[in-house]
Amino acid sequence: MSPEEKAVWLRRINEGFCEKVPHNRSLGLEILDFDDSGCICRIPFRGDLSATSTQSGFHFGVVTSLLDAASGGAAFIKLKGGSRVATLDLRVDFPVTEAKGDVLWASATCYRVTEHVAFTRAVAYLEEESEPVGVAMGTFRIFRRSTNGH
Amino acid sequence: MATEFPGSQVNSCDAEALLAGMPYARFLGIQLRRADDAIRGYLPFKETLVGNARVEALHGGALATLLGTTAVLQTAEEVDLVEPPTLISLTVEYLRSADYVDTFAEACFTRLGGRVANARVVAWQSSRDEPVAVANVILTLARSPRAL
Repeated sequence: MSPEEKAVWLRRINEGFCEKVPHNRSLGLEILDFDDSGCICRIPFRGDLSATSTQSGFHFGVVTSLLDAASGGAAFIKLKGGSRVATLDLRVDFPVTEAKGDVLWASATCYRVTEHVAFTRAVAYLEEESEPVGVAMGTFRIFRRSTNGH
Repeated sequence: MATEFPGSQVNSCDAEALLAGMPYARFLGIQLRRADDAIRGYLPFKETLVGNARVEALHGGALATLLGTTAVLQTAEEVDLVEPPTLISLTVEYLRSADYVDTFAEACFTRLGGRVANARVVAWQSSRDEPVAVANVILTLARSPRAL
């Protein structure tokens, strides 16, 4: 894929996954990059996304929403964008008690798809991916267009 | 820490105060409802909670936040804390598509230890018998020395 083609796809993915998803849009979520089985997303910090009034750390719910969206995005991308996915289950571990930073990033991979289920893993981090603030494993139900969701 | 809220040390870790001091929970619109002895997390429907407009479903992240926050509030309700509880892990199973209506959640503890609590949380909409999501939440506690 040429850089120009990739930019077109990135815009399309962002339209479908962020602009047309009210919750993702309300968080300021954006997909920055993708390959054939994963994506990188971010949410810039705002006061109303914080965990407490006295600290400027992201609330665990923002971390979870970002990981859910990034994981679903990775599954969507792995399926070449042709199928709707819905979260079956998501486990998130929070290795630190405070996620304080200007931008919350997430890197998600869809490592396996079957006929009906996609398997994902994802990390959320502030500065370095090696120092995560949230680590997620997820499974997603696939609704393939050809099988009409059944 | 409680001492960061001058003049409100006594009540800064009760459920109402914790929710009031959680900007993102307020942004989503999470409320606390009391009924008899139980407390409930309550998430009234609004457009910014939507995850998929085509099938009219709420976002899984918004439900996860309701479930996790309800576990935090239940902890504050049952334990005399000096600091807000923090989440170690949150595991959510999505059982049904969540419709464009209000969502409720209730938490109970499968174990409430000195430092760690394990909570099971259920979220439902029109019927409690048909939960839209359930969660296992593990939290760390900082109990008041009075209670130890």
